[in-house]
Amino acid sequence: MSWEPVIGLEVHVQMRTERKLFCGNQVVFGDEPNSHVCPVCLGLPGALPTTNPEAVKLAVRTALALDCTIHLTSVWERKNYFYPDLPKGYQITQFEMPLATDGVVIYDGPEGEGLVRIRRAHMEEDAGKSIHDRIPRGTVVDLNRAGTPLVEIVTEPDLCSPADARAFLVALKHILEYADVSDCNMEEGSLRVDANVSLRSVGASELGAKTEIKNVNSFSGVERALEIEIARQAEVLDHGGTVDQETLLWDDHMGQLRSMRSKEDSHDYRYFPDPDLPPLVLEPSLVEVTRQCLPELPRLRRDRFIQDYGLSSYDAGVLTHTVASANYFEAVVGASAEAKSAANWVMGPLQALMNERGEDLETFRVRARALAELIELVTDGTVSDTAAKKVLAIVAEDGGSPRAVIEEQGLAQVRDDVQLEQWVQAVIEAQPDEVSRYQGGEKRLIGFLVGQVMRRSSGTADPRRVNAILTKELI
Amino acid sequence: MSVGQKQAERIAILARLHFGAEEIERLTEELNHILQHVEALRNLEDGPAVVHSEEGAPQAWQRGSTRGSEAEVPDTLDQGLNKVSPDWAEGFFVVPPLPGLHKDEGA
Amino acid sequence: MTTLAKAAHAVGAIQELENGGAPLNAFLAVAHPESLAVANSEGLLAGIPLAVKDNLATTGFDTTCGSKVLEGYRSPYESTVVRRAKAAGAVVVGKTNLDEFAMGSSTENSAYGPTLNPHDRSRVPGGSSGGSAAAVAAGLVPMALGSDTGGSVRQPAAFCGIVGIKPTYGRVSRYGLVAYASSLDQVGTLGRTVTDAARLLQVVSGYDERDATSDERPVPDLLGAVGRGVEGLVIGVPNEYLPDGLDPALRDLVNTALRELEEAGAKIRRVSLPHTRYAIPCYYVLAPAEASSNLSRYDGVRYGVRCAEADLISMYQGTRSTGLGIEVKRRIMLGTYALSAGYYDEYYGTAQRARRMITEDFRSVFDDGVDALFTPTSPTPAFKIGERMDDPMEMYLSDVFTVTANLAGIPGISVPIGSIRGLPVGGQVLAPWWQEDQMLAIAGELETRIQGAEA
Repeated sequence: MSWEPVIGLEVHVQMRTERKLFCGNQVVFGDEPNSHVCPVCLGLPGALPTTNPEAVKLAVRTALALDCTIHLTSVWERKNYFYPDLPKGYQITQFEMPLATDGVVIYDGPEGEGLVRIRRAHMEEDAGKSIHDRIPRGTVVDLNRAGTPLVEIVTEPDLCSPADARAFLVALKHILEYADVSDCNMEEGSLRVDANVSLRSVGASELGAKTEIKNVNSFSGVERALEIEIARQAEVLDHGGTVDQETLLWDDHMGQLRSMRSKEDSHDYRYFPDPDLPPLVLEPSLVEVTRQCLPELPRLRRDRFIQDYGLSSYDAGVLTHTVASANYFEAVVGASAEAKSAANWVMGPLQALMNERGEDLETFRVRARALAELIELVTDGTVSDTAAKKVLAIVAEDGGSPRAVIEEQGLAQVRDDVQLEQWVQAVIEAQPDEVSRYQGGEKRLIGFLVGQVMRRSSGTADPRRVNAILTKELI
Repeated sequence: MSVGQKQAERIAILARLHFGAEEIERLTEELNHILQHVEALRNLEDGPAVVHSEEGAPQAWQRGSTRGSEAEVPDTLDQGLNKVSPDWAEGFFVVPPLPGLHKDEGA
Repeated sequence: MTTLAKAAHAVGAIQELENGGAPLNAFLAVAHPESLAVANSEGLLAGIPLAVKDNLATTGFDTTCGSKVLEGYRSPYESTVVRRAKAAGAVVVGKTNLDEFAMGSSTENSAYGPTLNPHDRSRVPGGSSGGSAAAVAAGLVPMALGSDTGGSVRQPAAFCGIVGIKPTYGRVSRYGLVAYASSLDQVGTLGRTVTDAARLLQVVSGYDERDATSDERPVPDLLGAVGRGVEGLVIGVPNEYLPDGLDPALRDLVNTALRELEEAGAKIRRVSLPHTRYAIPCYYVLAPAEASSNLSRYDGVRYGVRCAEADLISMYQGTRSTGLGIEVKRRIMLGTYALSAGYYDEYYGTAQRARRMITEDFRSVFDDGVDALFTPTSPTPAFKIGERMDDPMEMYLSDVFTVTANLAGIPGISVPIGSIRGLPVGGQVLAPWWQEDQMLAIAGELETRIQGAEA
C-alpha cells in the first residue's frame, strides 16, 4: 500500500511589540528572571487585563499579509489548563470568533509553486518559561515572557510532504519579516511550530488519524520530525495497525519523537468568553489604513524586480531575500546606477565585503548613494573593477565618498601607454619563467602576467590595455 | 441530566481537586440536587445568547476599546516576589518536579 | 475631633468589641493605631474610618478572601477603590470577614469562622459582605466597602438593618477586587444611612483604565440625589418578587413602604418580569463557571499557602483541596462541569440566553415608563447560624430577589423598611443602567419617611 501524508501547521509568532498584550510590562528576552512582571502578568488576585493597541495593529497587519479576511469583532476567550508557567490557570486567546480567517500563502515548493490556505489567525498571550534542569529540587518558573503577544496561524492540511512544509515555513517567515510584525528569531522562540500529520492511501479523500508534533523550533527540525513520523505511521499502517491520535514531542538534540504522556484531561480546555475583556472591535478605517500601509510582500517584489529591472529570477530572489537588501538595491538603482550592474555589485563585492567584515546592511558604511557613484566611476572608466573593490573596502572602513577616495589614493585608472609599458617591462623582467612558458605555448599565463601588472599599478592600470600591450611585447 | 460519580471524579481531576471516597459521593449528590434546579432552564424559549453582558453596557465595551496610556505603565509591586512566593530561588518561582514529564514539555 | 481621632476611636471600638465577651468576628484584620494616617484632610471622606471587605487587595493588610489558601497573603498592589477612598481622606481601619471568595449568603463559609449578626448573635449577618455589614450595623464604622455578585452587599445590608448599594456593572473599577464571577462582580458600598453609602460610592465610582469593563461615563451627583424626592416618578412593583408564599409580615412592610412613596408623590405600578424564575438556575451556572476559571490561579505556585508535595500534580491537588473550603470546591466542580466538553451548550449556553431574557425583562419595563422598581431585598430576615449550611440549594434561594440585578447589570440598593420579630428587613430599589441617582433619591425618601414613622 502506498500512503500520502497530509500535513497542517500551527505557527506561533511573537509580535515585536514594546509591551505585553494585557499589561504594560516590556517584552524583553533574556533579562533577569521575573524582572518584567506586574500584578496582571503574575496573575495576582484582583488584577485585570487591558488590551495593547499596538499588538492589535500588528496582528491585523499579520493577517492582512496572509491575505486573510479580518473580522471587525473578535472575542477573547479563556483556555483553561494548569501549568506552572501559566499564571492565571488559563490562557487568554481567541477561539470561536478569531481575528481573521481564510487566508492564503503561495510558496516555492520542491515541485513548483504551492498554495496553502490559512484557516485562521488569532491573537493570544504567551506563557512564561519553565526550566526543569536548573536546580535539583524541582522546576523553576520565569514569567518575563508571560503575556507576550502572539499570533497563532493555523493552516489547512494542504501540505503533502515534509519538504513542502519546510518550503511553506520559509515563505511564511519571509512574509512576516517583510510585514515587519515579528523579529522571527527562532533561537529566541519568536516563531514556534506545531505540525499535524496523518497518512491516507494515495488518492483517498478521507483523512486518517493524525498526530501532533510539538516543540519544534527550527525549519529543518520540522522537516526531519515529519519524515520520522511519516515513516512511523506508514510502518504502523503497513502492518494493519491504527495510528493513535496523540501528541509527540520533538527532541532536536536526539533527533527523536517521544509520545507525551497522555493525560485523560488534556483536551478539555473549557473555553468560554473572557468576562474581563470586551470583545475586540476594530474600526474599519484601522483595517483599511493598515491594508494600504502594508509593505510590498516578497513574491510581488521579486516579480517586480524581474519585470522592472530585467533581472533573472535567481538574482531577483537573492535581492529580495531580505527587505533590507531589496531596499538597498532599489536605492542604488534610484541613485542612477544601471540595474544589472547594481545587482551584480550588491550580490557580489558588497556581500563578500560584508561577510568578510561580519557586517550587515544596517551597520555597513557604504550607503546606496556611494555604491551608485562607484558603479558610475567604473562604468565611465575612471576606475578599474579591481581598484573599485579597493575603494569599496576603504569606504567601508573609513566612510567618505568613492570619488574622494579615488583622488586621495590615486586610484584612477591609468591608460597612459608610456606608464603602462614601464609596468609591463618591469613584470617581464621580474617573471622570466612565466614569460618563457608563455612564449612556449602556455597561453593561459597571460592572465597571471596581467595580474602582476595590475598589482604593480596598485590596481589602477586599465587591464584591457595591459593585456594588449603584454600580448604585443611577448610575441 | 445527572452526574455520575465517575464523571465527578473526572471533573475533580480537571479542576485539580482531590476528594475522599465519601466526600465525592456526597458532592455528587449535591451537584445533582443543584442541577435539578438548573433543569428549569430547559423550559426557556429560544433566543440569542449573550456573549458578553452588553445590555446597557459600558461604553468601552461597545467601542471594544484597547487600553489607554495609564494602563501602558505597569502597576508597581511594593514588595519583592520572594516575600509572596511559597518557594523562591535565584529569582525564580520553584515548583516540585513534574511527574513523568520531560523537560521540554509545555514550551 | 481631629481627622485622625475618629479613626483611632474606631480602631479602639473594634478592638474592644472583638476582644471582649461577645465578639462579632466581623474583622479579619484591624489597623495598628500607630499606623493610621489621613492622606487628604479636605477630601469627601476626610478622617472617616472605613472597613474594607477582605476580597479587596490592600497593601497595608493581608488579603485572605476568607480563605486558607491566601492565609498571610499580602498583596503587593492596592485595589483602585481603596486607593480612591484613601485619596479622599478615608482611613482604612480593618479588613472584614466574608464568605470564602465571596461565595455564600451568610458569611458562614469563612475559613476564619462566621460573623454574627449584631441584632441577634445567634443569627447570620447575611453574606457574603457579612463582616462589612455587621461592622457598620454595630456602629464600629459609618461605612464600608463590600462586593456584590448575586446580592452580597444588599442582602447583608438588609439582614443587618443598614443601607447597601450595588452600582451599575462598570460604574466602579474591579481592579483589585478578587474575582469570583467577573461578569457579575461589582464593588458596592454599605453605610448606616443612604447618604453615607452614597458618599462612599461617589468617591470610588468612575472610569479606571486598569479595568476594561469599567465605564467612561461621568458619575452623577450621587450625594445631591439623596434628598431629591420622588415626585412624579413611576415605581414598578414586579409581581414575581411578591410570590404567594411570601411571609405576610414582609408583604405588609413592602406595602407600607409603597404607600409612603405614593404619599411622597410617586406613582406605583404593578409590572411583570416573566423570566425571573430562571434567575437562580442561570446564576448558579454562570457564576460557578466563571469562578471555576477565576480560582484556577490558587495553585500554590506563585503566592499563598502551598501544600508541600513531592510532585507537581500532588502539590496542585493538595494545595487546592486543603486550601479551599467546601462551598468553593462545590462551585468549582459545578462550574467545571458546566464548561466541560459536551455540556457547554446545555448549561453555559442556555444560561447566557436566560441572562439575556432576564435583561430584556428589565429593559422593557424601563422602556415602558417605569423609573425604578421596588421589591423586598430577601424573602426572609436573617436566619439562624447553621440553619442552611446542610442544604446548599436552600442557601442559594436566599438570593432570589437580588441576583437579577447582577445578571442584568443594573444598580440596586437595599434600605431598611422595618423589622419582623425584632429582625431588620430591607426593601430593594432597582434602577435602569447608570441611574444610581434616581435610585438614591427613592432610597433617601424611604429612609426619611420610614425612620420618621419609627421614631
